[in-house]
Amino acid sequence: MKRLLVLAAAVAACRPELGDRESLVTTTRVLAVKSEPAEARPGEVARYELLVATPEGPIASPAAGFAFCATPKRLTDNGAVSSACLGDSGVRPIASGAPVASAAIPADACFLFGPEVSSADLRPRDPDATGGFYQPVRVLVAGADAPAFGATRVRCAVASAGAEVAAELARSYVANRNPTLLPLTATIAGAPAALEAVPAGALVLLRAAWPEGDAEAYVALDVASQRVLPRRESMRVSWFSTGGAFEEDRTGRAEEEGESFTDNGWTAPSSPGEVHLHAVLRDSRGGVAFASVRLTVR
Amino acid sequence: MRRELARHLALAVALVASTLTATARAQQSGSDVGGQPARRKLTKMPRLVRFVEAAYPEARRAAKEQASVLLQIEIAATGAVTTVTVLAGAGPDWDAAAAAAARAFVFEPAEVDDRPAPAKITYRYDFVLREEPPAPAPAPAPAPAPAPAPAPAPAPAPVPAAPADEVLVRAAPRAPRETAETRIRSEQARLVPGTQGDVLKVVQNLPGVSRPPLASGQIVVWGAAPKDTRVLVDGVEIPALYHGSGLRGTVGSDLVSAIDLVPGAFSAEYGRGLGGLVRVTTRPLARGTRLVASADTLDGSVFAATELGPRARAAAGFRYGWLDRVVGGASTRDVSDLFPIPRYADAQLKAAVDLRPGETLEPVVLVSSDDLDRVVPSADPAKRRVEASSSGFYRVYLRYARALSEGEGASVVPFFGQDRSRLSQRFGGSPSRLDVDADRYGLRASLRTRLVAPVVLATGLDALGTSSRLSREGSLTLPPREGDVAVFGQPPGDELAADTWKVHVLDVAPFVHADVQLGPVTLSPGLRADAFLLETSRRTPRVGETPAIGSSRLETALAPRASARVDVTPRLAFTAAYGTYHQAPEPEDLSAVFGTPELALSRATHVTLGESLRVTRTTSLEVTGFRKTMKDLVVRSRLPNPLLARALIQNGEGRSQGVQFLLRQELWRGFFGWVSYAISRSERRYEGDEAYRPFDYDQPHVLSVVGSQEIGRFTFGARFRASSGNPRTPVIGSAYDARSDRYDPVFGAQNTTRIPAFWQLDLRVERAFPIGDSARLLVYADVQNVTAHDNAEEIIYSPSFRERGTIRGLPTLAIVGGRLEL
Repeated sequence: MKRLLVLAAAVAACRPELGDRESLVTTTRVLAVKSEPAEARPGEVARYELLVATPEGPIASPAAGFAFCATPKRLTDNGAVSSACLGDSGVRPIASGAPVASAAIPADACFLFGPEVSSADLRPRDPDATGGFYQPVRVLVAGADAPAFGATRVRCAVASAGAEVAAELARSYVANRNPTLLPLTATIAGAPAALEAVPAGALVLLRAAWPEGDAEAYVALDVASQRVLPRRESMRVSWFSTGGAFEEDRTGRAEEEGESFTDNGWTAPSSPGEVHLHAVLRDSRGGVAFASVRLTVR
Repeated sequence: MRRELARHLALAVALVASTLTATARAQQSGSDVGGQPARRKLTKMPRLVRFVEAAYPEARRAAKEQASVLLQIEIAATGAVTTVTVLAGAGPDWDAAAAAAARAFVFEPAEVDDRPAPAKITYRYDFVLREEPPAPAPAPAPAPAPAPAPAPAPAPAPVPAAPADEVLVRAAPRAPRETAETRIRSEQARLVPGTQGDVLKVVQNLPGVSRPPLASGQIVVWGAAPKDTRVLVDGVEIPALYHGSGLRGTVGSDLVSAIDLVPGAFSAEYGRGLGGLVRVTTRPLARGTRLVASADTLDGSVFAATELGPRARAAAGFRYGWLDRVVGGASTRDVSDLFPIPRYADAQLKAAVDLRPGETLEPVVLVSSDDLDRVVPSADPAKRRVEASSSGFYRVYLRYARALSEGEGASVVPFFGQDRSRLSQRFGGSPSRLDVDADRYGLRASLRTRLVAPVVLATGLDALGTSSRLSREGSLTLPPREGDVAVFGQPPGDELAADTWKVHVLDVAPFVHADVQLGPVTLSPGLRADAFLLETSRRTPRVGETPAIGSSRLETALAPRASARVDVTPRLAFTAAYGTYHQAPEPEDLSAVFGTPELALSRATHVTLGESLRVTRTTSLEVTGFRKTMKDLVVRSRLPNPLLARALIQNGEGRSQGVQFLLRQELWRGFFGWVSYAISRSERRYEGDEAYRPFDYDQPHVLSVVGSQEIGRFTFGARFRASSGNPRTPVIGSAYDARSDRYDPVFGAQNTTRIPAFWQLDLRVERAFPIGDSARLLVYADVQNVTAHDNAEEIIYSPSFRERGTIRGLPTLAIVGGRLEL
């Protein structure tokens, strides 16, 4: 058979880059909402703390309004919360004008956001991939680019599992704790560097680390096999700066990766000045830690 | 006398609506487009492909005598000569020699409505003394144009035969022509720009079909969801017309004879779908040996057909796609992100056995597969993406057809097969998986009988069973469904569920359909009675080791259908059609966790009104108005806490209405083409809602202009398409989800904005290179979007949803390929 002419075509679809890099702080933004403890039962008190950044640096004591979201989202909404919680009719206020707030987790949290149902005829909510359910907390900060929602992981009864499995889960499960973010370290060309004085235009390798046990082991119900399986938290670090450019907006370690640190490259601005760096460490069960560093670019 | 006979037979054609017995001249006045339910058309004359020279009687040669013998040759639907009768002899020796030679002739069979049909021709065999050696028999050539159809090819020198001047054709029974039907023969479809020679892709250019999204093989006709339209090959349903991303059809083009698109209001012979029908007819196997090999940027294919004896023939085709490797070596990551390119392959086997004259048995095997693996690495563990999908099907069917005289006949098609679909995705730590294995089996049988002169009755049975095993894990919102409010690229909800279940759906539907000719009026009433057996393995979600309790239900539905045609003049006709349609729930929707096991039938009503004007012998204008109303559509529950095993409900309603225009030029002096335009509105709502919202695939304006001109050995083609963009829900704000570190969109009113309108010009040029007497090479270039128009394919947003942009489509796609025909 004759060999036929085959020519490749130019194939290219184009997806434009829209907006600033997520890691670049150009407006007032809520970067993190930390619940302490990270996991609580309904009725237990949780304390909420914020990391709010502006292009000029973090706000030490942001005046924020806190409210528990009281309206569950529809079963098929992709987002984290119901749009009703954007308005005041769908929330329960906690505090306003304060940088932190404390309140007891609502007693109906497991009914509204968890698997508990008032009637056996109702469909229980599904957990996330770690087996968790979350009570959302709305945070409004004046001047911020958008309302923010934090969350406390709530301990609820297990639905859609047999009594034996539920008992095993209750017996073995350890509530989540917030991780600890160790001080950021930096190297330039392999040599340790001080964050207080970074050469203009330098490529800085930043490292965020956490204690080894902070990527906690836990057990979760595997909904497919209906068995309790051992798991380990994955860890993510979100990087932010008011200048310069990160190689990645977020880095981290997956569940199967044992390292307790993550690196990211950051190119310092080409002109001298002050830059604020922020790192937010999140574990996959809703635990949060954050840190901010002020750099001087020379 | 012959003309009188022709008129008589043409009237008979109109009466029986499915069977033709007419002269070629009469048949050529039929239509090839919709709105012609009562006419059958000779689309191909029998064509002599193997000529056998008669033994010149020695005594006559010595005496230098010449003579002509007029023969009547009966040709089977396979092309074989069954009977030779001397109509006007020249003497016993002349007659015997001519008849003996004619019995060894082989023809490409006549075709009526693109299906092989028995034919009877008169043929004059001339004995002419010549001194030069005999020339070889004529080589097979592409099928001639349907109109004006040439007479059978004359015998070559030294014994030229006069063209047959009368052809009688007996058609095998086939489905009645639908009121709103567009039929494209494969020879034309292959030449349409943008199809890259794939005849099945021409469907995307037919009236009533919305433009599919980029990298999608979805078929949206008259506002029906893609899953509501059925694809049938020789009456056997297959799950997909196209391979993944819509690159190619799942049935090799060389096995396809014609494609019918029926966007709605189809007859009682078909059901189970609220949308339209795409009917693919496989090519009859002719005598002789044929080999076709083709290759282009997308894939390569081989098709071979041969005869296995005097009464049997076989063909096989195979195609393998390699575009993933071509693009993978030269493209950016964006391309594979936006335009996933699967590894695809398909194969076909077909055989034909002549049992008796007019009676054939055709076993057919169809196989198709698609595979796709993608890994999107990321330093962010939540954005690491692993995707593996695999899908495919096979069908095995045995088609028995018997053509009787006067349009009567019978066909029986038992079949079985399997569909499989596996989708596994992992977005960071969130898995998503859907596996479906379905065994399919069924039977389609029909019998057409003439009750009295103006009435032909078709009765039959359409049965389809589907036994599915399903397993799913992940978010309820993945895969998405019509009506979901989301933006492109938005991750699914992070809730995780899982279920494993089985579903068995058996639909047995006897049907009856009549064609009644009352002067210029043709009435076609029909009735279909569906009995759906719906069985599921689990009525409630699994809790621990609690034994599953299944369910078994019988849902019945009577579906009256009717159409009418009034021939106001020989050129102008008005048509109308009405029908009710039912559709069983998808097995995927019958999960106790992700759906609702107790879902019942969805329903629709179709109404059409149209006119059909034959402007010239080869030009027609069709205008069809349509309205579809749909009830009991399966939609998601809008409750935060729906009832157990009620994640889906049947509160969906829909309506679609519009007018479509089709101006079509049949092949005329090497040119064919059409202009189709549809203006329509398709909407959905939840029952009880005050207002309808636009259907996710609603395209109010769709225009297609297609033309192809043959000039010598070149064929030039052009296609222009323009359409409205699909509706999208605008984003009016955002909220920051600090737990997952991402912004969630805040939506405005559903589907109140649109992707910008689309237009594109495609060109095609093909050149034929003859290779000896029995082969040719076709080389073509198919260039899509020659103007590099910047079409928007999707609306996207910045991560914070404060900025909005569009994904732009392919700027230019040039595909060059070749096709070798032996």
